[in-house]
Amino acid sequence: MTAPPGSLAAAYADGLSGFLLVGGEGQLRLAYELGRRAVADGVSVLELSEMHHDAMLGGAAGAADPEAVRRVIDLGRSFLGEALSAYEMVGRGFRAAREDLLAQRHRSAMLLGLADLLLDGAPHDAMGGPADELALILAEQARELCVADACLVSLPDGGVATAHDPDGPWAALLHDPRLRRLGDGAPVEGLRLETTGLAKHPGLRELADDHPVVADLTGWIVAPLRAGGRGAGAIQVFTVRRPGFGPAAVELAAHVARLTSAGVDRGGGRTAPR
Amino acid sequence: MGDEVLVSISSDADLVAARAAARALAEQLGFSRTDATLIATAVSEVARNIVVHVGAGEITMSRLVQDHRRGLRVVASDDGPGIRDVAQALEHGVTSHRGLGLGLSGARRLMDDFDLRSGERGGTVVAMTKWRVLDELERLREDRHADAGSIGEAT
Repeated sequence: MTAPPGSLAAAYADGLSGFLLVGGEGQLRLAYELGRRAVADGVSVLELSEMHHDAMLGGAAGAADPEAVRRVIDLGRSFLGEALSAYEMVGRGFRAAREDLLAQRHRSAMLLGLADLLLDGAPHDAMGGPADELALILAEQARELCVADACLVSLPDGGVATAHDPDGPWAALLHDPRLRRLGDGAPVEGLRLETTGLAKHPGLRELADDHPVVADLTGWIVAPLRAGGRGAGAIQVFTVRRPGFGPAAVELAAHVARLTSAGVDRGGGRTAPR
Repeated sequence: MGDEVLVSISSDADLVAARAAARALAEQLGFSRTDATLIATAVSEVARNIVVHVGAGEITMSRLVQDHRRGLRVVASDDGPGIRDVAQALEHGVTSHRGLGLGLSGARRLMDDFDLRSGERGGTVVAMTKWRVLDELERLREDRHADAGSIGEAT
């Protein structure tokens, strides 16, 4: 344990002393700011508790009777709680980051599996089945990788598949040929639209007339496939969850599309035996 | 205190008023001292976000009543330039905070419900709620109160 910064310890002691004298939200806000500063400066919880107890000894020294001591302890509890709230935020963030890390490991394993399938042998050799089956694997994995509600995959030679909750409102939209054309006609760099952009997209506005779920979309990513240097097919993922897709989902969709394009190229432009 | 409290935010000093209002409402709704601290901290973070990134805005706090639970809803809004990438802002924070998870992402983790909306033409609205489930005694009291009310209406 390193020694806590003297200025922080002094500021904490002054702040607690002021709170014991006058109380009030202003002093509690100071405790919150001190806790924030302690977190930013890398002061540990143990160090902060040392600071607190040192300051409390000073505060309790002036207490004349047990009732006054009880009051000092109670006020000190409130002050410490405010200072620790910044640590609570960081602690929750750490737990969330740990869960993200585990999810990322899982996604990495999935991507390696996909790479094996698509690149170690030509897709049609690895699959030994029709293009629709490869498209289905891609749709299911892209949906899971991007944490999407639905996915539509259209392959260069016509293989098409969807992945979505069977009880959800997706089937009609995903099987609408106009949606596939939107994906196949997407710009080379792909598309990532959120709420405002979705509402303005002319192709989606047309689809919204027939498919109410389009109005609920919060994110749409189109990752085009570039087999043989030509545009052909796309991986499309959709979500209705807030706040939509993050940058990681965009990268993952693009990565799956690149793997698929490379796999199709290795297979001579074919994803299934002819 | 009425059902809704509005606090204008334009400087650091306004954080104190916002925190005080949040804590008072939390106490009225029966939140524990720890939860009241977490709510005050979340309010501080969204208020600080307004002061640092926009300069001015407002925070509205209100109580929610739903079956056997009570909620404290906080809505922070501003007319600033908006947040271009909301998902990224919540993932990494608008400013880095050295990646410590403070700021909006920190506020999000302290509350139960959190929604951030930012318009293309600017303006940001953060809506967040902390819930408290009534304990058994409170439920019984509430049910009895409701029954007494319906008997009173019938007679």
